[in-house]
Amino acid sequence: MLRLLLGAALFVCCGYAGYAVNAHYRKRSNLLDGIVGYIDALDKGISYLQSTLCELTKAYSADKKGDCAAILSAYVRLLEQGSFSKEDCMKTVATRLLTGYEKSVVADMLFSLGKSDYDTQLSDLAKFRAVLDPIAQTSKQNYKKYGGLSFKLGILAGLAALLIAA
Amino acid sequence: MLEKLLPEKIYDVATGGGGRIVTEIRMRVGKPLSVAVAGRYFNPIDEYGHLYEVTREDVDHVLGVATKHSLYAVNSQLAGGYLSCDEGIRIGVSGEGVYKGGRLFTLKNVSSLCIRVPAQIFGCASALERIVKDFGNTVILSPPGYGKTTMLREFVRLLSQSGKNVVVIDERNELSASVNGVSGFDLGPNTDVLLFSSKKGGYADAVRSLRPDLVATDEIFGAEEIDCLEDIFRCGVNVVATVHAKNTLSLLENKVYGRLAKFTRYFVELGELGKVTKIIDKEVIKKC
Repeated sequence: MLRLLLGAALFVCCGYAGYAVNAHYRKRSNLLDGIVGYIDALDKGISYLQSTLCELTKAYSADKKGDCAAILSAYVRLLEQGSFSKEDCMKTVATRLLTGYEKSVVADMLFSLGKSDYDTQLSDLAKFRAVLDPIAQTSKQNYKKYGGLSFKLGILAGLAALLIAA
Repeated sequence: MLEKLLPEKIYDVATGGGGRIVTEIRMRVGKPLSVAVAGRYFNPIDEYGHLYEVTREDVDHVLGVATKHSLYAVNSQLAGGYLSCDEGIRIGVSGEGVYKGGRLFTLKNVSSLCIRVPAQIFGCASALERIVKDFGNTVILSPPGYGKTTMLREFVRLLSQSGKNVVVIDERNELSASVNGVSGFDLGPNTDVLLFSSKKGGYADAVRSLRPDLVATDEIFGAEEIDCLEDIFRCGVNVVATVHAKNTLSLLENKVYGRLAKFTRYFVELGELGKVTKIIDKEVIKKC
């Protein structure tokens, strides 16, 4: 009976580990997708309505959930508080889902927004998109490739542990 | 708005912790802060008795808040040397000009700001009540900083209250201080505001679509805008405008602005602190 319980516990642990790895890939992919989507939304909003950054950011993140929405909400707070530094932007992207380089690119982008004229702003956004979009695509592929796999492996490992324990 | 617009330290020294009613603040990088209260300038000191020296960061802070961190959206204003903020605050900006296609495209390395805080002074146009009763085209004139805009705002309110349909062409959001399209100042019950509309475009729109009795606008500048005023009057709509000038004589001696005499009945001169010093009625002069 004790072995069975131990096996069940191992099954849950392995399954959860698989799920956690899967969730990491999914969240990372969604976050990067969200950031690229934000760049696209800014591109449209700036070139057509020339709305303020705060309005555009709020409008984009209104129906979003998760890490991207959290980062953008923190960014809106910065915009509303007055002046802010690059370090403040780094703090808004302090997430484990991004590498140090990716955080630095996103923080650079957030800090640079709204500081240049229309043409330069759009051209800068295109440059940031050119850097972030391939990372987002790779992340999506990795999620499809390894996210599902890790979950299945977790379940299989859990079953194996259960069988061995039983 | 001023509290949010200015860095905390500057707000404190300029307003004495919020107790002073400031009308103008001048920030020049590396120079002492200069503040105007009731038309008088002074250099405020901090709690240690030192003059407050404006830094680049202070100027960047104000620019960031004033542009709502969206410089791209206000580039045309910046190229025109000013920024309009909420509550009618206007910031004069100077820096390095950036040219594109032979035209001033924007300003960079902004080095000084002149922040003008608008006010509504009810009753300040009481001297103009007789013009309201016997209305004719009116030009309010004075050198800069004498309160023309404040006077025009109150005059518009009085005209509107008297039942006239007034269209205000508020090119820089100074007259109405609108937020989300709603006027922050009381411009009267019969007033429509064309916000951020160029004078030239606004005049045409106003006359064609809003059927005003009169059009009011601030700071006419150059022959083209006088052409517009003349054209409005030709359409049977009266005009009220302000113009920078030392006095009526110097205005009318000027080749360009002298044309105002053709269709303007009243010239209102302002002295310091926005007091009406002279009203010249062309009809009275004619009779004499």
